[in-house]
Amino acid sequence: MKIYYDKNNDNELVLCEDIIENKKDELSFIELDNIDYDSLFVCKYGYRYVVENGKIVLKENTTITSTQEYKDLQKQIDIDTYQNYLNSTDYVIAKLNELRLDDEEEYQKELENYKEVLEKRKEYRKLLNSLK
Amino acid sequence: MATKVVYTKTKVDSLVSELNTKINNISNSTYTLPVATSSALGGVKIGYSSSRWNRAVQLSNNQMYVNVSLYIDEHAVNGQISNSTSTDYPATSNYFYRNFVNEYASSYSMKVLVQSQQISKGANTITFKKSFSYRPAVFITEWGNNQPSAAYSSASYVKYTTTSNCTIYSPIDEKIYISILVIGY
Repeated sequence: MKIYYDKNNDNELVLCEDIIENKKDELSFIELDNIDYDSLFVCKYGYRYVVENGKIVLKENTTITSTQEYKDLQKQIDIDTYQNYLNSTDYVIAKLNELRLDDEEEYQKELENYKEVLEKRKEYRKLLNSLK
Repeated sequence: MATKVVYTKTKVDSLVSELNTKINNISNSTYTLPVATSSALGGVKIGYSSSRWNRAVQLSNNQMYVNVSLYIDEHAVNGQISNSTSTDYPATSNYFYRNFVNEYASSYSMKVLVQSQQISKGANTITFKKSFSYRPAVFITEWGNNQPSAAYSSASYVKYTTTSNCTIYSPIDEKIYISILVIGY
């Protein structure tokens, strides 16, 4: 199938149907078989699909990654990731506290079981504080 | 008093012959209607095969009109169905979409696009299958089988929107299909 790209825009793929229709004469194209065309409509934020040496490659879009908007979003994603992990593992703290009051032996055992979670929580808490 | 003119038979035959020649010339001549241009009157044909945004001129009582009903991206809707991982996933979106189109969007000649895509955890840029003249509104109508839990509900998932794409943040670890409804001009 024909994959259109714009030589005047760093060989970025052109996927919008009506833009292809209207600018067909100005666009270049490559022909590829067995391509998951639908997947080309999604890429990691800050990147874009371009044509290089007849192949489609995902490349950083420095116009986006140099913006404050991009940096702010990356920061927000990190905050969300850390905060979500802390929220989703809060039950571990409650569980350990309860055991501590009732059964010291069981508490020590569970403390060991959740060692990795507790360490990760500590690390994420530190990172979260530094970002906030 | 009227003057009386007397023609000879030869003269009458000559006049009749001349008249016949003129009549023959008129009936044998062909007139070509010029094609209408932006500056000159002329003829046009009807019968264009409508496709997506290009709509045919139609006739009603010899009067021309164009049906400008909203373009519906059937392909996107079908794509959503084929990508579905849940039985109510396409039904819910289509129900909402069709009702919206029928009741609101078409009244204002808005462009409406339903697009289903697989996204990964983090920020994903989704290129619209149609472009918009102005930044459209983007709504996430489906999260596949992995709707974000209440813990995430305070976050806004549609981060940035341009006329040709939007950036959506997914807090979910695995790859999921989402469906977006894009409305604008």
